[in-house]
Amino acid sequence: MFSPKRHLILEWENVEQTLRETLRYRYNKNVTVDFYEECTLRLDYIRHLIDSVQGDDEPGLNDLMGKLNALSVLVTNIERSHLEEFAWPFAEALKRIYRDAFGKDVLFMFRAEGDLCSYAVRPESIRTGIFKRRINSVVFPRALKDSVLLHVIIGHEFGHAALVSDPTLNGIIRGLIAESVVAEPQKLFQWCADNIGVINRIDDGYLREKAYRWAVELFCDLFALVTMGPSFLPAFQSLLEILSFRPSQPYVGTHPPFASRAVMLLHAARSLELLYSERSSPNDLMQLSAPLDKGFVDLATKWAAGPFSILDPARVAQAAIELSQFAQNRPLLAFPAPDAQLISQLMRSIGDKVPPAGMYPATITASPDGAPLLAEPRIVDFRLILFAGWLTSSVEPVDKNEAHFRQVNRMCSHAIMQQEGIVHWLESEARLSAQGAT
Amino acid sequence: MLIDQYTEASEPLVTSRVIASSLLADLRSSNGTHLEPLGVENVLRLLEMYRSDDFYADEPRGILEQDDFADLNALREFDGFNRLKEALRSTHATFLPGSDVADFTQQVTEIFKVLRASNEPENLAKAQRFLSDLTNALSNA
Repeated sequence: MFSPKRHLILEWENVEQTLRETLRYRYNKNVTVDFYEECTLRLDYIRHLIDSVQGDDEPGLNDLMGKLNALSVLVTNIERSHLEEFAWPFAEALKRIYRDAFGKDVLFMFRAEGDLCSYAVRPESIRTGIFKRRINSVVFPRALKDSVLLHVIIGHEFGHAALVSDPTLNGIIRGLIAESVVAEPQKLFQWCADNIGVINRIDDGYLREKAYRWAVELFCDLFALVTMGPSFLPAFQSLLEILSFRPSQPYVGTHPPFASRAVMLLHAARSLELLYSERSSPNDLMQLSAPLDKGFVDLATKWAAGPFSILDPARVAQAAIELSQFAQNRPLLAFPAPDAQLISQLMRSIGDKVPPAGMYPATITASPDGAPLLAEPRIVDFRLILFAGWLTSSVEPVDKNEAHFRQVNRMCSHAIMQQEGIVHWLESEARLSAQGAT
Repeated sequence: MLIDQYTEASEPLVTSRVIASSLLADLRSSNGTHLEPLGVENVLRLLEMYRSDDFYADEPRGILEQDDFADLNALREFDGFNRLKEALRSTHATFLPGSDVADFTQQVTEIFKVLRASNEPENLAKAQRFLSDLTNALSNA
């Protein structure tokens, strides 16, 4: 029989063996070294702490077992992360926009799980711990592998990661929920009892924790709208509406009701002018986006005047604008303003069954002195591809033509893969050019 | 499953104590010549939490994950962060009484930044005293 400390050392050796057997060659070759080095550093530090802790320090030994356990889970998850199980080009595109926002020292690990509901980002804390670089695990549902149009929902999960990276965002949360039932846990229980059939109150601590989680989830919806754009609305509706039909729950849950989230998103989308068909000034996107906008507006309007409208619309608008400014101040994070000409071009490509990819064509504009000026061609942002995809799919209602939706989704998925190929090529060219210069 | 769900970050107070006491032992045994970089990094992280009053706990779930009632024990994490905050407040009062939070965190941060570069005796003594106060506060929280 081993003493707890000796057992901990034995387990440490087992994890060390696992690390050496796996990470060197089982993951995407460009990032394996980063993961291997980070995990090795953590392992070495855990061993140092094990050696320091007293054999009778029961909480300390238990805590270190937890750290070792978490590292073991992480190594195994990385080992089991297979590129063929999730839409890796989509993942690469996501990584680019979010890494720039939250620091280049953050590593992202992507993998798939079997649950159809398994979208998640599990950020590591910036607080105390055994890490040098944080590793954020991003999870996609295996069965939805190439469903890039639905993958827009992952923007919500990156909201959680953003909150961990930048706690100042809590200020926006406070403004968002001020003077609502979410800001007052006592009233939250009564609201849930009156409107969603909750019958068990538990205690004040439980309600405070759930109220905080509701506030965070609402913020994350807002974050997804700001960063992924209006495509988030149909993805949100498509994935979550059916889950809202479940019977009432006896306890206050971790997430606000679907109806409340939809109403908040409606107010936010209006304040950010992301419902292009509703804009007061004529614009070329007005007609293109009308069917897509209508689907979400019809849904959310049902609840906008009733009890499920739990937040003050003015506060939602203010929070949306503040978050939008936050995103605008970070490279690539905010949803790029769509150009109607480009969106039309992408939609035509999809209609022609051609992936809507490639360089956005160089355009000729006039310089201040009137001379023709050739603007630089640029890569089409993957979020605009997805927006064009949703607009195209909305021409024929999704529920009447699944094949059409699949076809559009396939074009968008291929386009993002091709775009990533172009980005990879451009980055390689830039690296070679830099090496040549030195 | 053999036991209840086992989560890593359930005891921030214990983690901080183990890290602080390990770093203190390093300083004492090596007279400041050997420092675990992650140990120092974690002290600086703790000071930043205290400076910015950032003790909220957030372990997000997936957007679609169904609620279950199995995680009431996660509430302990909230309690753990509150106790961690109290322990840091107590360390502050012992180590630099009368100072404000900004001054305290700035001075202690400076001590550990200097320690990374040299084992100058007076600074080393201050670092040891701080870690000793912190370990005691964390043990008694």
